[in-house]
Amino acid sequence: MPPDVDQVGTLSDQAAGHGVRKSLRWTWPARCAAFLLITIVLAIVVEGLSLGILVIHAGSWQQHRDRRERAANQTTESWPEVAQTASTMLHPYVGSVPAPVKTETVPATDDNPARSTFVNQGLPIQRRAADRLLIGITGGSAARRLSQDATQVLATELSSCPDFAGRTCHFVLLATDEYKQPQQLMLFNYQLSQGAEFDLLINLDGLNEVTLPITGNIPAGLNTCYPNDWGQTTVEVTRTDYLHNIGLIKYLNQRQRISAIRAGSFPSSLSPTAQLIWSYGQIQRERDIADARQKADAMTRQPATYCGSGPPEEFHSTQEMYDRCIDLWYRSSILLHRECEINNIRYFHFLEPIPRRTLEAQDARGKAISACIPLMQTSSRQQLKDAGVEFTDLSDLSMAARETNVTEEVILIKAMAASIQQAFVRVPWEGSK
Amino acid sequence: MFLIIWGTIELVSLLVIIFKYGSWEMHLKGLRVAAVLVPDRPGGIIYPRSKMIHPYIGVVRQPHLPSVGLTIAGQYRVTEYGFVDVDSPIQKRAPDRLIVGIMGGSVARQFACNATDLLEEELLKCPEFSGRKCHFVRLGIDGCKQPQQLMIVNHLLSQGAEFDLIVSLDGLNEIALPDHDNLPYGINSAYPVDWGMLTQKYVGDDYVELLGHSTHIRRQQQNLARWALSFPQVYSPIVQVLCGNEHDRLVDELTVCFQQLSRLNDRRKVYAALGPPESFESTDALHEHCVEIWYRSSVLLHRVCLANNIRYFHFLQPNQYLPGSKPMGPQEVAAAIEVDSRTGAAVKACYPRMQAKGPSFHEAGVAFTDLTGVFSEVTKPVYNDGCCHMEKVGDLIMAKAIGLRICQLIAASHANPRAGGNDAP
Repeated sequence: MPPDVDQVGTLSDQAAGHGVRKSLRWTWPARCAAFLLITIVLAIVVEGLSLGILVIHAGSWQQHRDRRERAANQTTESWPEVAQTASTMLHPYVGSVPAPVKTETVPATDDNPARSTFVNQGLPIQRRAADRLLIGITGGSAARRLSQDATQVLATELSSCPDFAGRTCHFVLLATDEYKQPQQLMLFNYQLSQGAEFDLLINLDGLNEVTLPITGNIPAGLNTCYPNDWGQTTVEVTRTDYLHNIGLIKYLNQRQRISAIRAGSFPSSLSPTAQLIWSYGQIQRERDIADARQKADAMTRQPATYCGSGPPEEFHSTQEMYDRCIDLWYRSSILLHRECEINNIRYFHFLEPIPRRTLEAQDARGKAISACIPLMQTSSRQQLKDAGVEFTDLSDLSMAARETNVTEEVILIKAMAASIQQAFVRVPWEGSK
Repeated sequence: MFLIIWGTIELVSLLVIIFKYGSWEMHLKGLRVAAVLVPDRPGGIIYPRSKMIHPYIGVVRQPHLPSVGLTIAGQYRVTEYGFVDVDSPIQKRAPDRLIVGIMGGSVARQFACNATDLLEEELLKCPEFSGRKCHFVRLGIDGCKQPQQLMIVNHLLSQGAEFDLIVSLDGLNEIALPDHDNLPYGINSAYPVDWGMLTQKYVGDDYVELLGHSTHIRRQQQNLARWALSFPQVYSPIVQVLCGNEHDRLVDELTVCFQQLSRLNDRRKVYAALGPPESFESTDALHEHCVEIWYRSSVLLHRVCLANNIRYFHFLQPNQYLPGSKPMGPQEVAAAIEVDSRTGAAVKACYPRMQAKGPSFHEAGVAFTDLTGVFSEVTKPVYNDGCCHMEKVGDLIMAKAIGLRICQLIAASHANPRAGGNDAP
């Protein structure tokens, strides 16, 4: 039972030694007011102390507020490796494909890329017909740009070829950024196994095949023939500990953001104590995030698994690495050619234009291009020709574009169309008969 | 007075613990388990360690390091390429050797491990191969189905591999597995078996964040348990009751988290794990589709081989569920025939269709042989499980039949190039 105010008053008076018995009676409102006053004083003291600690810790109230706002506005996808997972996805026969168009937002129809095996770029499962010319385009980013921007120009150029008279061109777009052999070969085979048909297959490649393994695969211990992003793509499905750490970072970031928003809203935004508590939690979470990030980084430095790296390779010299890349490129092209030939498809292989600035660069990429392209233009070209491949070297087109003042793309299209037309003059198309 | 009140509360807390957990020791045991859990690995093993994903073949076996030695059947290991073999599959032709690739699913894998000696003996009876030594490249992978075989050959050829002969022994996985392992989970029928399971963690940011949440809860549990087990609070029933309650709350939170993860897993609406969406009006339509993929892939494989000067021989593997394919005694029936087997239903529905593809294969130039009758006169037990696998005696019988047939087809192709055995010299 709490002591009576009378007793308190009496006791205190006695203790004060006044000897005079006063009747100090506290009314309830007075008691409440006193309690309130004490609480307010205490709160002011605590808030004042908090403000002091906060200012010492953050530098100023404004700096603290800026820090809180930064935390509130951060996005959970800010970590590059996490963001990267959204752009490509695993595929069992091609390595990786671009992330698909979400079927929730785009209705899946026969003409809609959302349903296609090869996402975002048209439905590849097409059948031959007498009134159309099915043209597959494969390769890396140069081929992808061509597929997206210039197929109409190519169609116009090809329409002048007598073999294609009365046919409308239908382009099947199979090119994707960072694709390199044997991805084109595997993709083509997979499409055929799914019932796809083609009349022509155009392969525009060469740059990724020599640059990506040199700058990406080999330094990372990834087999030359594996897709460039394979190690990173698979680490999230093979290394569950890694995945949990990424998740923890994302989760703590999210909590960080939510708590910062709460701390910044009324009335906690006006309370230095609330801000101090948030600040303490923030420090804890930042420590946890840093810890998880450190662990995740350490995991990426661990020796890759077989799944993530593929069969190990050993190179005794840089030239040996270059040779391996070039071998893979022309061997895959020869295989594509043979398969096209036996399936009554005309195959055209173009060595893509090499941007001048990359030739002049002194980094690993530039050196690889400078070393490999001349070999591809000479000995590999001869090997391709000997194997019967309709191969055209367009690697110098960038230079031509500069000299003629015409866009590189138009020159490229015209050169490709001319090469295809010449081939049909030399060897008439069986499919046209 | 304070001590009496405190002692009473401690006593009541002790009773609460005993009532709730059975005994004091049981309660501490639960905390000890929570204290040693590895937070990064909740949920145990995520995927079967025996398999792994591959960029061009889909799924292969998890390789064994050469230092581990030969671990399968005492003679073979899983090579760096993911196949059960002794050597690399990248082999080069030579006048004195015959490079024979054997591909298919688990039956082909067993066959290639058990019966290549006899197959070599039979093949060398063929005048064309006399004086050569067979080198077998074992490309069978458990659960492998078309178009994986097609992709395997293309991948290896791009790596510089060379073959003289390719023998494909398949048919069952192609028609039984899509209905069993792919379609029920919304996975495209052409995708490899186990693909969905091996890539199920690849389910987007929401999944990853939930995983992170579960890890966070686990860490909280772990920290709490470690603190509760340390001195002096480990001897305080009050602290233990409070920690026990918090622990239970975290368990509930974790359960909710796992339920959400499970729901996301069930949905699996992720392209990486599912592939292009498919729907079939009936099981019959699905079977027709599967047979078509099998047929088309084999024709494409034949063409790839033909274009690369390789002889391709395709054999439809035998199966116990095909009526009349083998006389079986009670012992073999007990071991190999399962009542209401889904494999059996698929075999009965699809094998006649696959057998009926024979003329189409012939028309396409494929050296196709229906091997389903190879045990039709074998009375001794061959099959040893309810799927398709067999004792070594079965492999030996098949080896003899396959070797003989290949020699016949090659002889016939010399007489008439369209009679089979490919047109390759």
